[in-house]
Amino acid sequence: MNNISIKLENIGKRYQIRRGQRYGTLKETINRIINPFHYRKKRNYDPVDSDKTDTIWAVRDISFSINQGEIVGLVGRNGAGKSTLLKIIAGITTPTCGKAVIEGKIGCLLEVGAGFHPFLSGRENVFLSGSILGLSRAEIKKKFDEIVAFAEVESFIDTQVKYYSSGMYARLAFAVAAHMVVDILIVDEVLSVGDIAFQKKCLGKIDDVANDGRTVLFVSHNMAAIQRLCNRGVLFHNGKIIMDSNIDSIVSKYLDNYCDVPAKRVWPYSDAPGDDHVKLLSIRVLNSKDDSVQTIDIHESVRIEIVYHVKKIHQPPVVIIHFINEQWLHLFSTHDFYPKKASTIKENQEVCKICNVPGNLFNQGRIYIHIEIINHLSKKNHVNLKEAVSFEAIDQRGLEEMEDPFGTQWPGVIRPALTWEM
Amino acid sequence: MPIQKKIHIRKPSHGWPKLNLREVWESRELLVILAWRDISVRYKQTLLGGLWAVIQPFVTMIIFSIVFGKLAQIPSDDIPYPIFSYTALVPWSFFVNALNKSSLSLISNSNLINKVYFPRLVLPLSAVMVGTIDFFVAFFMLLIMMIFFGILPTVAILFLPFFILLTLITSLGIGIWIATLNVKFYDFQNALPFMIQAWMFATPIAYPSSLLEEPWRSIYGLNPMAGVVEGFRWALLGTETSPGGILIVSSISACVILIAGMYFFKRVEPTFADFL
Repeated sequence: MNNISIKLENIGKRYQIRRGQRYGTLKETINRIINPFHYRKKRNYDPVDSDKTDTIWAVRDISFSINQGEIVGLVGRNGAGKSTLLKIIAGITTPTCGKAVIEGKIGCLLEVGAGFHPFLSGRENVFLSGSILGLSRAEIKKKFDEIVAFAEVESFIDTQVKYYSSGMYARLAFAVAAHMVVDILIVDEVLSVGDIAFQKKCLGKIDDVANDGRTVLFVSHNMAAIQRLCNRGVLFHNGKIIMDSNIDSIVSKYLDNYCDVPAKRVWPYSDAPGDDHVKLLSIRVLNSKDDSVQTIDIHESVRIEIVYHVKKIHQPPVVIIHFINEQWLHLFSTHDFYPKKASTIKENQEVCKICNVPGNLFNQGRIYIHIEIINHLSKKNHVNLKEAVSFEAIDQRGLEEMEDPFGTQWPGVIRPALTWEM
Repeated sequence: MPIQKKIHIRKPSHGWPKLNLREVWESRELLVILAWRDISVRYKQTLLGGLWAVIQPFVTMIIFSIVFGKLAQIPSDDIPYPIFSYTALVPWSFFVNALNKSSLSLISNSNLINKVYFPRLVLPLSAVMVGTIDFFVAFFMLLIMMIFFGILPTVAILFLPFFILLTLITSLGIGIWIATLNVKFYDFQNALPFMIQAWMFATPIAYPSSLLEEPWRSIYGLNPMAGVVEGFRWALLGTETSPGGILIVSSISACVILIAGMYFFKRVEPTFADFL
């Protein structure tokens, strides 16, 4: 029995980039009509061979197949081509070259709340959104109570959705999509909505779909979610497949080499960020054994090492570190200024500072670090580097956490280990 | 139990596109619900709701009666000028609304087009459908006016459904063209009000087409709205001049516009998500 669910052969998608012009110009089209021979000649070019400067390949030479029942995570930084590929599979856009064969009904969740209208009630929107996603009226009717119960909006179902909180809105929207009966489910980064408890519920729902023997294609920047959900991963970079393997090696490869902000940065002196007083030379994220790492167990301490060169001193420079999470919440900040301690830093000295962050503090997720080196009296910035480095905080306790009442994802922005007494 | 699964193939589009009308038919529920969404939102948002369907052609009729009927003394095939022009304005208003709505139907739903797959033809179709309710409201007003002016319809009224169908085909045809062009060329947005205005004077709304001699009168039918308007007058008011030639030309013209429009739409459809 042939059980291939999605088969991609040399898929490529090229976009035209026109500076400042979104629309085809009338002039261009008129030229084509007046001079059809010229146009034909151009059109017969093999699209793969003509590499014009004003075009960009969003994805290129993509070939792989997915068997029925596989749960595949697509991993890669923004603009790597994951979303374009999903759009091609879903039929939203056509490939420039290649061919994709998809067997079965496709449900695609590229956006939560597709088609929701603020002036309509929750009930009306369930029918509207359901129809847009390809459900029949009868199917929606049959599942209506289930959808409303899943979204936990029973008492507001006849209220216009413009009066809904953003959480209620997201819950109802996801609930409709989650109840599609499909063979292939395509999910793109939609789990960033709603509170943690609801995200957990959504992941559970996707799990159910997958356990039903249906194929799931999943894109997320949440590595913990991808690792939990998928068994196979495909790593994308600049529109091409870098690696196709089991999910754990994909995630570690991505975090080591391809994630947006690396965990280690070193600059040559000539290129170093800074001014004529201070130059930043390197930043590294270290674990408790002083190894430079990408991922840190949330129970362990993290050390942020900053090396900078001081050329001139008016005031001893102060190093500031800001810790930011994935949702761009500013977690906390720290600096190395001690008013009572005289600084020993001299001119033309290379300084290495290490900031110790204790374990049991971060919650799971990506932590971004902003670095500032300032003169705290003149308020002058020597260095101001947003998203200088980042690392992934993960819970490595393994499967025993299933016993945990919070599951894998604890609510809240930090996750301190507190003691309880009785 | 083996179930035959639907197979989708995604590849670059070449040559003549397939219309794939079956897919549109399978999406008829979506078509209805999108039209219902627009109607229901409009009734929730506007104070007068359905009354606008009457106000628009009725006020135009009053202006026309004063300017063209009284001041310019334009002939009206021996029918009181107000009902002469209103009979034309009912299908014309439907046509104008259909054009305005369908011209925006793809752009204003760009967020859907970019995120969900469904046959895109559903969007201009539902935009045209939204106007049918307005049409029947305005048509009801027309019946009241006929009673007021003491005009009894002749047997020709049996042909009215055909003219309503012709109105629909024309509006759909032009609407699909404009919706597609609007995605490709932003200029169209600006050209549309001007185009509609010019088109109105090129359609026998304020004047009768009997001003023209044959064969020019039949050639005039290349503008399908000319056939629609003359047909409405003939079916309802019993104008003496039977509009045979003009009607045949208009019907053919409307069908050609619609079919060509659908092919054009299908041809551009794969790139919608890239343009919007």
